[in-house]
Amino acid sequence: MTAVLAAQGVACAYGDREALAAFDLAAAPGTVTALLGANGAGKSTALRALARLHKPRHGAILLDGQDVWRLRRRAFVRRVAFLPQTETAPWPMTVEQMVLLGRLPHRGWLLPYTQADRAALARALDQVELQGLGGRDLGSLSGGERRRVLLARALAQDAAVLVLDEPGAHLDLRHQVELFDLLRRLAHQGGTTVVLSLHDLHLAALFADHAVLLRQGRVLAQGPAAEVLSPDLVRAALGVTVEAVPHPRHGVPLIVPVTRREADR
Amino acid sequence: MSDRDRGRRRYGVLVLLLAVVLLASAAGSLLVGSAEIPLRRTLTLLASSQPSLERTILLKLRLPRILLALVVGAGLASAGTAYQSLFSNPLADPFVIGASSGAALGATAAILAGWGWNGGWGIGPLPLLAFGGALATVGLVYLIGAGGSRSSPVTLLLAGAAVSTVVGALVSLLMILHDQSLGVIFNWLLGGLSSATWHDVRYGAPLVGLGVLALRLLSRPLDALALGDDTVASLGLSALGLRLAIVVAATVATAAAVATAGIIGFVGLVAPHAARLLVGGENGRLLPASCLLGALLLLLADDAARTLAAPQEIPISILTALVGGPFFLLLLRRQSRAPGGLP
Amino acid sequence: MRTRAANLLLGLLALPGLPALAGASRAAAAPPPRRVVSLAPSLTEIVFALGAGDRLVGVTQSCDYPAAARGLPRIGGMTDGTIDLERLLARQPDVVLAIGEDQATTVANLRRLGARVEVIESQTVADVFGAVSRVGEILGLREPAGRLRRELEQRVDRVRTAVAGLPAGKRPRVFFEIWDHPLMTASRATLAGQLIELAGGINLFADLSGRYVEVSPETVLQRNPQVILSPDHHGRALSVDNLRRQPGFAQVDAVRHGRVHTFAGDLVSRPGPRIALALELVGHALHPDLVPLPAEGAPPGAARH
Repeated sequence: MTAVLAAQGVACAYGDREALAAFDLAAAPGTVTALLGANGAGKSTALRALARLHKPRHGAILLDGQDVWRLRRRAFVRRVAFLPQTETAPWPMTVEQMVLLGRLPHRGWLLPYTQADRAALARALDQVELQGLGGRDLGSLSGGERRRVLLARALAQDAAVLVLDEPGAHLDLRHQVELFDLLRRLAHQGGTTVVLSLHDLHLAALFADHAVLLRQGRVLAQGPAAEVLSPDLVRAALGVTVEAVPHPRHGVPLIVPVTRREADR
Repeated sequence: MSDRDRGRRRYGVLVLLLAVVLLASAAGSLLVGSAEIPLRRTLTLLASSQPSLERTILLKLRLPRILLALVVGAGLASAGTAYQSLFSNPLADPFVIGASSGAALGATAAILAGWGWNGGWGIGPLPLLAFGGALATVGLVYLIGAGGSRSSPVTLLLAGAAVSTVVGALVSLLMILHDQSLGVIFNWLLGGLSSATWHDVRYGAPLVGLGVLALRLLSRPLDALALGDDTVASLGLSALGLRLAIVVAATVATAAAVATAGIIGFVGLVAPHAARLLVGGENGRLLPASCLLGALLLLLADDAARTLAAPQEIPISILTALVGGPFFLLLLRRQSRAPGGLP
Repeated sequence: MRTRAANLLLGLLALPGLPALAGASRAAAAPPPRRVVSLAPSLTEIVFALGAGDRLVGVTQSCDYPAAARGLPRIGGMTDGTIDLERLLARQPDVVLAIGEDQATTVANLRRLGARVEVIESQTVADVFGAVSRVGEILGLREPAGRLRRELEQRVDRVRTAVAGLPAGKRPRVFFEIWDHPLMTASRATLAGQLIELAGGINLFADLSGRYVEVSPETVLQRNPQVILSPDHHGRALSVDNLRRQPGFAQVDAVRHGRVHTFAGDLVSRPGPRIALALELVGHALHPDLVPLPAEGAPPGAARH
């Protein structure tokens, strides 16, 4: 089950404020695409447009060549799962109840959950290493654990495409690494199309195949991660002076900031 | 046994227990009333079919009154549960978007026009106007608060508060200008089941039941809606459509309850919280438990209403507030001590 | 010498007469008030009954009897907070007639602003007689007031003596229904309740302490009233037919014998000059054989179903 998620000349706005313009993207199956940029650069907007949550003013979002806004919402969400950056806290709920909501695209809101749903639940909990915690109350979990529950929900959707807004936020390093490892495996071995945003450039270098650098709502550069993560481009996008050093083990460019103090020397 | 099965077993036992307590209380309530009919006599009367005044009192006055208490209690509790979920607000109750002020306006108009309860045709003008007033006001609130792109639960709440204030002021104005009917209007507003008959049950129960059933069916969307519109859309649901459906279902139940029994506060606020303590926050389980607790609460309050100051009937809102208030404070104390309670 | 002693004696004899002289001169000095404001419909009716209706310059919204009262300028309602002080004072009254109940703040404010306020108790049937006398005294109409008071007392007495000898068994149980949903009744403490007792009836809820109280149909059925009375603003809802439809009510004595009566609402709740008429109407409803229908007939609004 694979799908290509693409954007062509997409422009989005919130009221009068333009948030994204001339946005092009082609996310291929089996790849991890990372959207990078400063806060307010348009990453979340782009992801929400890709996830059919925000209707673009111009341009089109295509899923396997079809305009997503021509598709029925239910048909779309069966193939594309979305993890929001923040979510309002629900009433006391168990982990299981929360993750099972991810089966709504398949089950609908009326019919009871089936064996297949429970199997997907178990698989998803396994993948985020929360197996056995199904009965736990959400309120008793740590911030990172709660984030993984939401990720499990997205995974339970069994979708061909995963669109994730800062999935690594609030996670400690170990869990971040495990999460991105999981996502890369899902992509490279499972053929899932993964599009996500993140701030950590090191993780982007290590785990993303494709990177898109956004600045003020426009694409500054996109291409293979190793190419996009160049000091000049990063400085133009993030407004901070950086240097690139090769990773001692994996060779990918690691972007490190250059402070004023050192520059003075 | 897995966690899940244990949870399901526990829930089943709890619901069964509540249902049994409820049935027992309902049966016991048959013995309660200003006309003293001792247990043995009650049983004899129920067994025989000879008409008598006492039999009339039992079957035509007390029994429908008890049933109406159960129905109204369940309806208000359901609506309160739904709104607390919908608005992610622990203080939401069935009247939060204007149903009570609208019903009050309708009822006041009927009382001032001299339209009593049984106009001779099927439904009297007073309950009809109360029902219609509630629906119309909620409709108005919905149009104001949910139209357009800026629609969100918060705007609905704000619109509800604003419209309620205005409509409530109109009611107060009418009361002041016609103060010879003040006592009557005041007593209606405070709610009461004292004059309940099968007539009320026949019209009120199906409507309330419809609303309660619909809300139960919508329990999963209620869960999802609490997570935010983006999440809801990403799960393939229409936030606007579902919110409308929930408001309609809750309002029908509330309007029918208010039309037959006046404005009874606290049941819709306290029952969901108590139920949440017992079965957790997932609406599929919470709604039935809340219904049972609401029915029980109102039944007991009504028993007290007709015995504490007999032969005078105490308007039931006074009792639900006197009991509900301290109970609510108790709940608060528990919440503040337990970690990770309400979000 | 005799002249001086005689003068002294005459002076001594005149002493007791001095206060009277002073009073007379005071009365002569203060003319009876010509601009009167009434803060209660019952007082308005008394003023009109004394023939001084033309002196009223301000009345409450509820003052609707006699018809002439309806054209008078309104100064608000009957309770604190609904009485418009500004408008009241703008009428420049010589005296303001108040009933006191729910008017304490207004009375105090008016006095503080220098107006003359006379508070007249009017809660019971007996209060009416005293009220008539007081209003007559204030308006300088002692003669007409005395005549009216005597007439009212006689009429009330006539009814009272007609039913005086009745044993408890001959006094019908009376249920005064104010509203049906919720079911509300008037207790003995209300004017209607007093009328019922004076007319030889027993209030079904004689054991209640409040005034307008909510009760349950159960109790009414159990106590089985023989007569049901209600005020006319209860609406069309109260009739024998409608009552018969209520569960259990078809067996109630009052419904079986069709003894269900409606009266003009203000007639049985206003402690004014029409109280005698009200008592006669209620008396006739309870004991048609002992109390004849009043000569002036039933005023519009008092009817029998």
